[in-house]
Amino acid sequence: MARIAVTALLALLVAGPVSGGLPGSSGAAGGGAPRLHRVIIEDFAFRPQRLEVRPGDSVEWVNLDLAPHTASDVDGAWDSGELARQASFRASFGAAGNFAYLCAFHPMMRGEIVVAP
Amino acid sequence: MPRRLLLTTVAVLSVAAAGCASADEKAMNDLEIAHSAYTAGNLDIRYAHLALALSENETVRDFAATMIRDHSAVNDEAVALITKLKVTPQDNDLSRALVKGAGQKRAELVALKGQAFDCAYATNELGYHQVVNQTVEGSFIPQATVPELKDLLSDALVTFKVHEGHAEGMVASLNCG
Ligand SMILES: [Cu+2]
Repeated sequence: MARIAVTALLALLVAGPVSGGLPGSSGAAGGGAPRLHRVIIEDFAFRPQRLEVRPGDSVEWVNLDLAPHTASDVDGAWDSGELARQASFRASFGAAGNFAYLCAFHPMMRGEIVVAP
Repeated sequence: MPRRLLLTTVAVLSVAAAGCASADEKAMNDLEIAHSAYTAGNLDIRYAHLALALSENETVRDFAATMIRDHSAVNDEAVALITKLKVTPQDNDLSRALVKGAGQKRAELVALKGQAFDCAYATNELGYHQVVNQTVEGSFIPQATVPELKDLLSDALVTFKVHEGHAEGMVASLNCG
């Protein structure tokens, strides 16, 4: 039992540096290693709806709904494409700023990534 | 205002309940519920294909594309579940009534063009989702006994309710009068 817990912890620790190796994560000057954040898509909403990250961090969207969704930057900079149930998508954020996104299939679903140094 | 809202809700509920009672006196079994839920989704996909063939309105076309995408995803999950459980859904009075009603509605829609088609399609989508949602919530979910089926219906209802809201917005935006 204790060994399983240690293995799980190791897996978590290993996952940290991996996220830092993602393309586009060069702007990690804000201090600390780049982190991977998660946005859950559930009941036709992005949770959290507004997420604050540091430059160089990555965000992973996971769709838990039966209906397919997307996470699409309103300016077209990035787009997950169709995410079926349990599918996920990652994007990394280099520069500071506010990035609004929506679901291309259900445009009333809106979210925001705030990249703050 | 609250009283009027309440009265409208009661009227819709009793219409849905009457529809159910006439189509099926006794509670449906899991295989009948699965069949009717799958059939209702398929019929909405057929309406949507008709809309993509006949409508030039962007709102209507977007809605139709969403119906095909979402109902296909729900029905794919239903197929995965019945495959896993190794069962065969059972045709029943409600499924037959749904198929017959949709056939008549398609014949009506196919004779229309332009704004007349868009309004008839949008109004039908709103009414169809209202009745199906009342049935899923009021009959299918309480009557289903297999937990996985109950879960699938509950998840599907989340999607269908969003569709109902979309359909309401679509009807309002088309100024059908
Ligand atoms: Cu969506």
